[in-house]
Amino acid sequence: MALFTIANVLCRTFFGTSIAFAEEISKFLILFVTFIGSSYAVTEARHIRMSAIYDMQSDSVRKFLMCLITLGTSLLMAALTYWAIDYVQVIAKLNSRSASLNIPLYLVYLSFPIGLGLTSIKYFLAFLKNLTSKDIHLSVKEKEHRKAGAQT
Amino acid sequence: MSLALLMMTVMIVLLFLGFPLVVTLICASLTAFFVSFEALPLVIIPQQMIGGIQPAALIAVPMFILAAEIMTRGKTADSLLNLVESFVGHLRGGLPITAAMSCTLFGAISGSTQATVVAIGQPLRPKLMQNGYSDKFATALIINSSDIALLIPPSIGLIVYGVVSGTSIGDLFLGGIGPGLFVLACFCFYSWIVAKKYKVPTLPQKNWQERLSFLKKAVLPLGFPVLIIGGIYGGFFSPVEAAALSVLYALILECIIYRELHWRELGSIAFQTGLTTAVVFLLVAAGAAFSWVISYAQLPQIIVNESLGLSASSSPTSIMFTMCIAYFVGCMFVDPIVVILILAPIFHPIAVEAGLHPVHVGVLVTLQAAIGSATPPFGCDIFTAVAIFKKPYLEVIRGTPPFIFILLLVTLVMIFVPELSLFLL
Repeated sequence: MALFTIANVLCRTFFGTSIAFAEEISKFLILFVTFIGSSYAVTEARHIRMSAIYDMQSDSVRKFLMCLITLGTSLLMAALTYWAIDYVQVIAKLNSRSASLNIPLYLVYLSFPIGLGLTSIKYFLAFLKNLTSKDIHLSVKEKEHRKAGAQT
Repeated sequence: MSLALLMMTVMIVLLFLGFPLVVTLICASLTAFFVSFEALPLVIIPQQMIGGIQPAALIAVPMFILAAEIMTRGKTADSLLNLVESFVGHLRGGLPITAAMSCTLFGAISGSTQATVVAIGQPLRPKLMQNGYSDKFATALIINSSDIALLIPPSIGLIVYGVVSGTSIGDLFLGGIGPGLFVLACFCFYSWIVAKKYKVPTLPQKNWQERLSFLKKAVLPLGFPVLIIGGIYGGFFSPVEAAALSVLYALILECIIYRELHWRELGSIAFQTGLTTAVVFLLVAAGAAFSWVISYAQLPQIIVNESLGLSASSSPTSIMFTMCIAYFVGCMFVDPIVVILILAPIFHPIAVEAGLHPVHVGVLVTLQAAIGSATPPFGCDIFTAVAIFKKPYLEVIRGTPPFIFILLLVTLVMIFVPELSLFLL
């Protein structure tokens, strides 16, 4: 993903807009970065949420809420993945191709179901982690930091 | 109307439970699908989401983030700070004025509020306190001055607003300069009053030799705003090209000229950029689906006409006041980008129909977004500050009321003097 971003920048900078495919590549890379990146963002617990009220709750309530959030988000992402697959199939059937590179668009759009599918799995793993361990986990990797210091 | 209420309830409940913002946006859209338009295929949601992040102008966002990330790690901020301090540091209230000006300059380079808090706030806050300014004043000053970054180009908020509402991003950038500088001037004035009131000692005046040496060091970072604003103003390049150039410029500056940054670090910088981009763009995608849903259900007309009693024939002033309040309140609770995504499709059409200039509207609401995000209870900048300065929430917000008051005054001026944002167009 890092490479994508750099490549993105380089192709914009060095080719400029004069070459039509540069813009197309940038757009595709944006799709890749967004959807694949969103599953990374789960691991790093970077998705934005309004946690002020959540933070005021007691440990057990927060644990319950976190289970609810991770499971709910996972299910929603799974549903979105399902609809996205539908959409990609429609595009594949229409056989639309990109204007200047002539790449089949469905190949590019595949990053959408793949990325969201991974996001869904990551949230589900976080849910399992919350069920099986004592602490509250924002993701598989990130434990909730606030109380961590107080406990040890 | 009941659909609007239902969608709002879903959003607020999920929001308060602490779900990721993406989930709240998509669930609200899904509610509409299940309740009102059952006949439509759900494939529309992924279609709109992909469409939402395809506008070419959005490519500028990750590149500005990348440039900001590079410069936050390098020493651009330091050289700017030194320069500003050498010129205004000896004045009464010089140090807070330095802070406000450096925040504006760094905002003009990085376009990110958070990056500004980190890069300028971290070195300057202890210095302010050593020189006799109170903690609450220093913290509030830094949070609120960093918000100027949202108005000064390049600003991610303005890019998103431009994409959502179809306003020219170049024009929005130019429109943001006037109000941004005006806010800066007000903050400087307030700093002067505070310094006078508490009789804070001034710093020794630097001589011209020192000033020149600092200027020499900072001349390259200063090239940035000139490059971006001048380039867009002169019509040499689009915001996207300006973004690409600013990345190149940042790379050359930090890697080749200052040698502060090793090429190997670029990997982790690009990775962070990718993460930030993914988070923002997933929101933009979900926002696109959401705004498709509400416009399909004709909610903007319903909300604006029936609940707020506004129409294209009502006075522009009352439309602007309603808009400002909506954005301000929204940003007190969630991230400005989300608020812009939700509210722009609701208010923008009617404001333009009523004869307001789209750039005026865009800059005005972005200012509201900036104020709201530094306002308790849940403004997101407050939490950035809590995380960075490691101070309890209540202490961070103690100093903010005067700043919010100043910003609201600026809002009034902006509403009644549209030229403030339009004079450069």
